[in-house]
Amino acid sequence: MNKPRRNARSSFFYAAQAFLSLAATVFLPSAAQAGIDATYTGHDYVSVTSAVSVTELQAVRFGNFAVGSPGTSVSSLTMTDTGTRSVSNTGTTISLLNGGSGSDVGSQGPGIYEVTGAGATANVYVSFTDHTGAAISSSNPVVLTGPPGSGTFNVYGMNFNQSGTDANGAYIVTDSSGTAYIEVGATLYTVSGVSTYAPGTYRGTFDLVLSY
Amino acid sequence: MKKLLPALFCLALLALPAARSFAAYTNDGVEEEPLYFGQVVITNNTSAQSCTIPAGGTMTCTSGITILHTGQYGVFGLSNYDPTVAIWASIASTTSLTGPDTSTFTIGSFTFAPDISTIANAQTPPGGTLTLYIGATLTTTAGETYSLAPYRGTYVLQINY
Repeated sequence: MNKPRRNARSSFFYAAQAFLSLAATVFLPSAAQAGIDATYTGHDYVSVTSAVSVTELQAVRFGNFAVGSPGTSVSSLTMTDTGTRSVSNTGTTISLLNGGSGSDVGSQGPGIYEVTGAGATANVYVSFTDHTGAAISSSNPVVLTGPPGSGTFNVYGMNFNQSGTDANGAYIVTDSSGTAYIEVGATLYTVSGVSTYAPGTYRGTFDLVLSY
Repeated sequence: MKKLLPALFCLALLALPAARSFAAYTNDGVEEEPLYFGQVVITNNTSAQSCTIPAGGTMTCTSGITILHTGQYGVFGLSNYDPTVAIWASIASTTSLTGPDTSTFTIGSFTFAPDISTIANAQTPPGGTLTLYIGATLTTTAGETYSLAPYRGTYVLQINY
């Protein structure tokens, strides 16, 4: 009778040992193990650009002209980006004055703006705005003011020696040194209702906005 | 006692699937924001220059780099983690940032917010989720000329337990 009891105790001991051993195999690693849960790929990037500077070499200059019979009609004087002047008179007469005969010479000329630092052969997009960033247009013109009491002129219809146009707008391509010369033309309009344009200099400003 | 032997083995077998219940946590991770070093102008690269974005902080650069538009630290969203297991983060590998030329940027000195950058700082993700901000330092190669273009690279975030 004793022998079977010893065998029974022995069987229990081994069974318990087997259970504990198996349990240790299952549980202990999860309690003490360290490792990698997961890896994920992240992305990083930087955009290298340049500090573009713009220098006005010449303002847009409509040159010398005379205005006759100002009134309700609006006449215009166009200065192209290549420096050619022309007038369109509709009652009010704009007469070009120049220093020579047979050719239109004088102080007039397109605006010339030097752009540097944009990088070689870069597309530089050009637009024209007022100081608030609103685009220059017929409803938001540049106003040229002159002598006190005199009438004003409106200027809009800016254009420049663009290299092309794409979805971002009109652009000019810089040369291999990252420089471009933007030549700006525009059209000057008399203002309906103005009775007097006194002799003198009329000035206004606009912003040349570059994107690249 | 012999009758207990089968029961004990059955008990042991029942314990097995319970121990493997960790497999229910899928340890998901999503890159919510890339690590972006902004738009910069390299004004002087005779010596190596760098930009640093602290995790959750504001980018700064050394004197040879001007920031036109500031950058943004990276953001990873971790989810479906075991909320009872502390985790910590490391960077397993990186690639240089490359662009259209042979010049490259290197990236390193990664930081994390919350700071779980060492096993000693391991934290349990509350509810099994954690939003991890990732900062780093970008460094130029001295004397290199960089094109006016984007430079891109990758890094591998590793979550450890």
